[in-house]
Amino acid sequence: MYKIVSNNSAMTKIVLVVVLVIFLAVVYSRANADNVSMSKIENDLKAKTNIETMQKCNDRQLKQFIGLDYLNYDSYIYYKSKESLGVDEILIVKAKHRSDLDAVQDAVEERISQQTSTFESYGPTQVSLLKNAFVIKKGRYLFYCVSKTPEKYEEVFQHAI
Amino acid sequence: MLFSSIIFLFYFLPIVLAAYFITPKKYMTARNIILLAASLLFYSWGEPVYVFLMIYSAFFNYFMALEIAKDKRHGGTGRNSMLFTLVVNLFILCFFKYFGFLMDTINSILGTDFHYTALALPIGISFYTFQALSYIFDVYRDRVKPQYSLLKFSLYLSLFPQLIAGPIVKYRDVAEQLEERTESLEKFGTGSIRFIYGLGKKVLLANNLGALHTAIIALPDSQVSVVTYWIGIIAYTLQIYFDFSGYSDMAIGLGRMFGFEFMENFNYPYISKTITEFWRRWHISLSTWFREYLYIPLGGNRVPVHRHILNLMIVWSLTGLWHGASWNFVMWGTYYGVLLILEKYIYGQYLEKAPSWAQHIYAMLIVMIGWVFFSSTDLSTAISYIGVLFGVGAFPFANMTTLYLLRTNLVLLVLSGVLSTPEPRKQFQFFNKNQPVFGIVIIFVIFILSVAYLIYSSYNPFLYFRF
Repeated sequence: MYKIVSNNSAMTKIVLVVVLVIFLAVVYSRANADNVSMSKIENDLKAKTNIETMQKCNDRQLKQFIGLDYLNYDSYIYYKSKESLGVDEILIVKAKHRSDLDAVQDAVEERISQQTSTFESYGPTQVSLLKNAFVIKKGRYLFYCVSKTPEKYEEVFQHAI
Repeated sequence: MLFSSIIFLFYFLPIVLAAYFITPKKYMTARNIILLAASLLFYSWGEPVYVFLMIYSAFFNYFMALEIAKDKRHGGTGRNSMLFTLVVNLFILCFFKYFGFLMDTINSILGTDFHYTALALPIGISFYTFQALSYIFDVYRDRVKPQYSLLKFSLYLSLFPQLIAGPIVKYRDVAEQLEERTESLEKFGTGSIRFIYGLGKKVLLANNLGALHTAIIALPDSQVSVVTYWIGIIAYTLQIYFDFSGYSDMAIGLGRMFGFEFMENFNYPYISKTITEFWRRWHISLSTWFREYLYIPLGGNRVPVHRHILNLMIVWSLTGLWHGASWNFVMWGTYYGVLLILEKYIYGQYLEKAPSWAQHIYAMLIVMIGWVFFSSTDLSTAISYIGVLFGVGAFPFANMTTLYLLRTNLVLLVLSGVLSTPEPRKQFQFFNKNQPVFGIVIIFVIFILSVAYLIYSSYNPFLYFRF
């Protein structure tokens, strides 16, 4: 193997650097997230997690609990715990523009803060889950999850996009 | 893929072991191919894109080492090629690991708002980059002959037992084993025991200690107390030891099963009496790497005092930075640099004369404070936590939460503390020698309990995974 490339070692070094630069450029551009439909992400979550044990929320509930108007965004998935004292939630929002995610992040952080205040005096388990919530922005997507196993949902989300 | 996962224990490992040992020993090349393919599959399981980076790194460093050797044969020094290789390897590491940190720092200092895309860190990049660099430096310094087989070099770099979390294996320590290694029933047996021992440390101890630490740092201010926060940092101190040393045990055990002997990475660091001793016992492969390839080339301690101090600060700041792209990691490394300097030049001689128990308390206090920096998301959080530990703020000394945590976790904490010392291992080996059935039963119980925990418990990733 070495003999094949050593005869033109200068050229080989150039090729190696060029290959590296191309690879890094591709990785960087892909890190902006693929343009994946929300239904695909939802199907992946249903197949690989137990998201269906939670309640799927609609546009009104998105406004009621998170304070977001669905009309301002491309699409979303919102599930929350069916239990009255449960704080488990998963929200994935696909914005029309990346800059729109700042407002989503603010709304999610406000939601975490409100929930923490609600459960602070009598729900240490809930507060613990809220403090370990995942909030991740990638490309035009924001992922928010409160769960005992947020990493599992995050892994599916990251693979999907 | 983690060692402590069902898919690894019951699918990947049995299949690889079967394929490896079914292949006749005389076909070592075939066995190496099987291990290489398994290693690339292992790596790509979590991040398929970055396996190409691993392959690139293997080919690039393989090629450049031979270029260095060729240059030397023709009367040159190989220095330019070595520097080129160093720059490219560090560029790749910095691109993935430190780019975001650099941009955040620039924005913070200049008050700008340069946007960038945060990249996912390729798993184990810090480990395999340092392995590659150790090889390049050793070839450059004629400490080892370059490897002409791309297969063997790729296997060295990507071998799955130590790929994603160490130990950092120097090429010269395994060069002969890549050519010829001895597998035996005894090695397989001791390797399996070591693996199961590490699995138990990770799953049964580290994960539960981690849950305790997570619960404590998530407590609202109304439930925080001084003692509670001490329990939290003690839990983290034990968690990170069992987590990382457990993974190293699994890596060493797996290696031995395939006939490889890797260096020890931990030597009961929490029995240390000084910080100097601690760093001879903790993450040994990393500290020896920095000593051999940075500290000694800088002059080590064979330079004037002021230069020696500078060398130590450079090495320890970079040690901190290697652990994470954040100022709290740099602070953590610098913290140890300062303490090592103080031990060397200020109070080390007095420390030696102190009673043994006082030395142990000193060392453990310093180490635990250090872990606060390591475990915190940022500097301000770390400083706040340390403040509570020493009574800053209007927090009570203890409260009902403290009693609840002690009542429910005292056994775990005491057991973990005892198991972090060498005595239980010595006793186990003594009983095992005289009553082998005892040893078999203990190992079997650890394995069964670990598997039960893996099936039952939630996902809890390895702390050193993202280095």
